[in-house]
Amino acid sequence: MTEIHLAFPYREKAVRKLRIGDVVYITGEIHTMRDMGYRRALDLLSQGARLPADLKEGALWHCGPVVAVNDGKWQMVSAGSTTSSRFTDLAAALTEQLNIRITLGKGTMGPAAAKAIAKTGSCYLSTTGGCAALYTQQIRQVIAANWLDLGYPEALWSLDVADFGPLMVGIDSQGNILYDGIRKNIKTGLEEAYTLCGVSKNKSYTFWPKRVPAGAPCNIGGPDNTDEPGSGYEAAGKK
Amino acid sequence: MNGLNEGLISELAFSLLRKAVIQLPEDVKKALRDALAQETTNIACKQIETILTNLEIAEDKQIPLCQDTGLPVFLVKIGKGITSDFDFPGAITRGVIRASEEIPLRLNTIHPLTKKNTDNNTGWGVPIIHYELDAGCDYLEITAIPKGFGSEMRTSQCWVPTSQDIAEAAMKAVLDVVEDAMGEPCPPLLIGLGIGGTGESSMLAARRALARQPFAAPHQEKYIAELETRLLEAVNRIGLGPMGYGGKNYALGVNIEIRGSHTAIVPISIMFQCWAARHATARVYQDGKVEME
Repeated sequence: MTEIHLAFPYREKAVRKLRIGDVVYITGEIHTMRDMGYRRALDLLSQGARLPADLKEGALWHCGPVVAVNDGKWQMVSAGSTTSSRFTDLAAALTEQLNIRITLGKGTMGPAAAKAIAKTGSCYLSTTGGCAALYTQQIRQVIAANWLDLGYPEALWSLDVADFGPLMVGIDSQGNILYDGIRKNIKTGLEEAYTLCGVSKNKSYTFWPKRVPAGAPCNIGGPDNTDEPGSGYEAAGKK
Repeated sequence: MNGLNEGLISELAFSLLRKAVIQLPEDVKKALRDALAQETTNIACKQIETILTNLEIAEDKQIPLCQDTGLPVFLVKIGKGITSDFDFPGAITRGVIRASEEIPLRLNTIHPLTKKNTDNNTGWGVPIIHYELDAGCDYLEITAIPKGFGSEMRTSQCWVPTSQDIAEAAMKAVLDVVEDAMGEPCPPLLIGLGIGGTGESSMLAARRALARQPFAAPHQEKYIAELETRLLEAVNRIGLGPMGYGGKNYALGVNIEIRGSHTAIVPISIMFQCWAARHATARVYQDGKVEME
């Protein structure tokens, strides 16, 4: 487990050196973005409008914080990551348009995002989910607050962080997805689990829905899509 | 004079939420520490160590341990002889509004269609309160469950014809959901199942399974307790581990509740509770005496 420290401005060369599974800490400017913020950012860009914060080649964090005002100043009370797979398509679009260098969140993103990450030579870093109290201690200050009309969780918060981590490289600049490797690694374990339960993996017990859970969840490329995650590799000309 | 009054309930809703979002119950912390002791790889240990450090910081600084302070859910048990002459849900709601301002909580509650945020975590049926009458006790019991949505959004329900083996179907359904969800619902987690009932009662049974106290205690019926143990072993055998990066502890427990079912088909409801299994309970007697756990 290699530990790497990155500081703002985040250089493409340094980011390209990261590999899935590396542990990273970052220092400098990051901006929060989630569901409604992505929507607004993409809408504004499509209209040719400027965004209120300079996100170009920057770091975006999938986070909706608990916020307070102290002596007229914004204070992050508790800020941690939200589930990133919801943003697969949105993040893919914004990464390409603004050359986002680091996307931070929790879990993983699907093949479309990995493709965009490989195209731009950027990365996706995953926090330990739920650990907002810890990550909040690494936020030095709130630089700016925008889009407050979306509500505090969805607003665009610009933050200054120091040694922000631990962050695990979930998707690297070649489009490799950490979760894909894990999916391969658990094949034996899954077989053992089915044996323990005395059930067949291919037997369908349900009347409705035909598959549990219904449909592919959140574009993360579920087990039925494991033939596809190579898209990231291909984009990087690896495989 | 009725000691069980509006102010008391409002105060309790506030203090239970406050306790829940800052400090995990001791049994959950112990389950996490036990999980750490079992893990052998750096990557798995690092995840649980980070979680345990996070819990210390939250308690030390008195801040919410996770930024997703959830939607406010309350389980209310009303014992024999408990009466109220005031707006009970209104009192809970006032406690939630105060908690949102003072702790503070994240302002999570929006209109589902217009997406307008009420900025106080209430509105359109929120706080969510599930009532239960219980003639077997003489107190009012309130449990606050701030429910985060990283794990909530993996909720699933499927319907299995009675020609099938229902236990097998339930195990298969859980393994399928786990395989798809991987690390995203923040494991090590708790899995709750509601088997039987109508659609909504089955789901509520799953919610109550997650709220079982003590955390991950075995079901009273031996057959169901064995199913819980077997499923827990199977889920962990997959090897997804903490945060899904590989390891021994994906689940800290599997809790199953059953409901009488229609002879044609049995609903199986599955709910996940992330490692931040936040809940706080208080008992209130008619004279106003309060017992907090």
